[in-house]
Amino acid sequence: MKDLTEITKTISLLYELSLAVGTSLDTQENCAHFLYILMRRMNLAYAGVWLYPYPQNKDAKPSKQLKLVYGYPKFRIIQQDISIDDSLKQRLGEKSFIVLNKDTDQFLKTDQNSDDQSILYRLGDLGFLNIYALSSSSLLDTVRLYSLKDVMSKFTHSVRACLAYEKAHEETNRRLEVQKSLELSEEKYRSVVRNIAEGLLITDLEGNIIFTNDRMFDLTGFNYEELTGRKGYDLLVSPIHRSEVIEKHSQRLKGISEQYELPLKHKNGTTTWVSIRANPYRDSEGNIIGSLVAFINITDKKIAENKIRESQKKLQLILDTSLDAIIIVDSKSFVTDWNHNAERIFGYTKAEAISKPLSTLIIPPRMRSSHQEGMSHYMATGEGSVLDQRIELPALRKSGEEFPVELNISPIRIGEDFFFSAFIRDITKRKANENALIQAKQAAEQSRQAERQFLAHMSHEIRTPMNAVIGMTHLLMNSGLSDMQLEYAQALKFSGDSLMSIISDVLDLSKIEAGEFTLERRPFSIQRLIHNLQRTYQFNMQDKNVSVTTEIDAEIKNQVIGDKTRLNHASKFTE
Amino acid sequence: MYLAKPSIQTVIQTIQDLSPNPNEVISLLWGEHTSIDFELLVQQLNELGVQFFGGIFPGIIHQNQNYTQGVIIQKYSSSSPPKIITNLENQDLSKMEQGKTALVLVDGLSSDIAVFLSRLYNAWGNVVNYIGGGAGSLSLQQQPCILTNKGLLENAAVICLIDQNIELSVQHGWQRLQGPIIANKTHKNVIYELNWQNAFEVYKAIIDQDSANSIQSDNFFQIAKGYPFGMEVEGAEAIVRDPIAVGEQGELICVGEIDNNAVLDILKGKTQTLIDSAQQAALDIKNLTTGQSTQHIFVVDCISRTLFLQDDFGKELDVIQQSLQQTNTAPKIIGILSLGEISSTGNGPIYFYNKTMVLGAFSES
Repeated sequence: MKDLTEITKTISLLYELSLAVGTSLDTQENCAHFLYILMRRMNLAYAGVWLYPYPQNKDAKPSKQLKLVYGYPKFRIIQQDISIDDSLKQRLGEKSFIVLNKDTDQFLKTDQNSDDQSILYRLGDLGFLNIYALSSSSLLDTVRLYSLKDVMSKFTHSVRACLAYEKAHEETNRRLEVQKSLELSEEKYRSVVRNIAEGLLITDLEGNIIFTNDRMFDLTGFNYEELTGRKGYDLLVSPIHRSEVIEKHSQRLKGISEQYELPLKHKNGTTTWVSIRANPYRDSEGNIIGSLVAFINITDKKIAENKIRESQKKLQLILDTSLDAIIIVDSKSFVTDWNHNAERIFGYTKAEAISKPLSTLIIPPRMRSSHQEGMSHYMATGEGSVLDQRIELPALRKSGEEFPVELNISPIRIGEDFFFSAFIRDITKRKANENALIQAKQAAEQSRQAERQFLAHMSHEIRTPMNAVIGMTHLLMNSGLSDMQLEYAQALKFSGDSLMSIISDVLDLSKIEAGEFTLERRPFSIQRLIHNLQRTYQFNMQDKNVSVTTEIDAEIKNQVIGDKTRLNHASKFTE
Repeated sequence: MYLAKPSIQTVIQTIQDLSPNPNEVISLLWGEHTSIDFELLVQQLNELGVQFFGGIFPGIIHQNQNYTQGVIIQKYSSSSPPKIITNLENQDLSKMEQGKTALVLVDGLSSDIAVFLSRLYNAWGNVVNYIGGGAGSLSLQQQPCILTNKGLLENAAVICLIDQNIELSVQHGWQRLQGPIIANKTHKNVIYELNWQNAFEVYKAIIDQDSANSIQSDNFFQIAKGYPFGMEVEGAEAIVRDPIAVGEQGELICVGEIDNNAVLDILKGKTQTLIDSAQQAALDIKNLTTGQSTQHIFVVDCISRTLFLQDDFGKELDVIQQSLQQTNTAPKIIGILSLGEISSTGNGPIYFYNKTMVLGAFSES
């Protein structure tokens, strides 16, 4: 310093530079303003601030990498990151600045003019401030450069403050973001918990409820205040399930999760079936502090299941009590169901029959190929000649015995799968009865045939002599007999005729039994028929001193059409 | 080429006589009292396909004369059309092509000149030499003054990248009267406080000790033009800041920005020192261009120097011409009387000067 003017100039320079330090807490702005003033006052061509990465902690290893935080003018910046070697560090040592050698110190090379001289100020342990000035510049005076050391130190502190502030700001922002994120997450969680269809319940280690969501009110009828503080298994579980639930709670405390179903007691006395997913409830360090239980209302499902179960029971009962064997096979003829009567009829138990090919079980070997063809044909065409009708076929018992069955086969389609149900009845006895009846009928037929032949023979054998008796009697009556004799002869003839009539009646009876009897339609004299009947009855009654008289209405015509012989017989059998 | 009473026809004829090729641009530097229909001129130049740029200034310089009317027409080699900057604060400059010399004309009454120049330097640095100045009216009323093929623009700038080298000298000749004083409260081009007191009161107290007349708000400009501020620059002349008005609260309004806490001197001008500085600038150019073929000398002289030197301003131009004549038999001198001067010192950022003279010697392309 040569004179007062110089000192004044230096003081004003340092003053201006000092006040240019720390004008912003933003590192870039702080550097930009300081460098702007520095460059104007020092008439510099370029200035840049290089900083090591901000240490994450006190024990972090010093870095050799530096990053350009701010450089002006930008057009001269050709690198943003550099690596500084140990020799330079050693050369700098505790010095506040060094003038770099243009030829050897290439690590901060910019596209500066060859006349430019680079000076490196140490910014403590933060990094460096690099400036370029003309080689002829008065700035290169060592005293002038040295005079800036305290300003540079002050600038270093300001940059440190900026970095610390930015770090703190960044951490604060991160914390705020995390907090905001947590709040959002918490709100989301609350919203989810509030709105999920599942009931949620949290208990402490003793089983006391410490949290429930709104859905629990729908499930149990108890509100939050009524539930919290109570033991869930006392309030919501019936006595018969209570010990089971207490045991399950103890499993939670051992870290075991579980899923099960349970009827819950509703406040209104009804029962709500729930599916329960119970997990251990842990704190942030993983310690079990209770139980977290999720409930899903499955009452409707349970009702439906019960109905199905009852329906299945009924169906099974029907199947089991059916007099018929009921067998169900799939499209490949493998047995899928086999009822009690199937066991009885065929001799295989259900366990033996299930999943076995039907043909090997009950179909006689000679019929198995046609059975298989029938199945294949139906699967291919949907047509089956034996389906939906009663048919009789021979079947095979486990013992190998073949026996007749009556069966009805129906196809069943469930979704894309085909099944066939067979209702099978053992008709061994019925067949035997039928055969006995047929034989009896055949015997009866033979007996009747013999009877008819006997009657025909008998009729023929009697008619022949009787025709001779009646003919001879007729001749006798015309042989001049006395009245007494004639009367006797006439009576003989009448009796002969009657005998012939009886023989005819026997034949008629035979015809009636055989369903072969027919009435005659021929004209005859009704007056003569009645006169003859009068005479026959009078003759029979002459010993009883009874007179038989006839009276014929004049309106009745003498000649009528009818079966005179059957009419005559009918009169005789009239009481 | 200087046209004292230009018309659209004579301007166009002159340009056509220059026969600019596609790699040449025409500069048109207008004295503010020139009467011409700029809108029509721009339209016709555009129709002719002429690449041009320019501005309206308080005065123009041709040889050793200055004029408030007329036009100076000059042809430059340029491989790209002039760049028009309508947003001084934000327009992207980084993608612009580079050249050897940037002739920068800016609205001298814009408040964003410092930002603009800073951004320009940030983008191009000192691989380009800068010369230019602030356009506008001596009335200090802001109005459209930057001439482009889009018309006359206000609050704008135009940059012509010229493929010719330039040698520069910046001088002002203002001497330190008193200092340092601290501009402890400023905003852009307004000083509110000096030495932690009302700016005008501090300024007045210093000026009144030196000036024959006490400085008041009503005679502020007349007296202040002889007492500008200087901002120290290491190894170079101080950057002059010209106070042009005093506000109601005693704030001082300057041409160009003053940094907060800047250490200032109050400068004082003497006719001879200013003329000497002009001579020094010319001599600098002489030395720098020894052995080179200079096409023309471009002078950017602050209008306030004419106001200060008044009738002696001619001497400044004479001494420039004479100094250059000693080394150059027929120097062609053109220039502008500006509202602020633009130059790079050749080593540091681009500055916006006041009350300063920038001499630039364009070499033959």
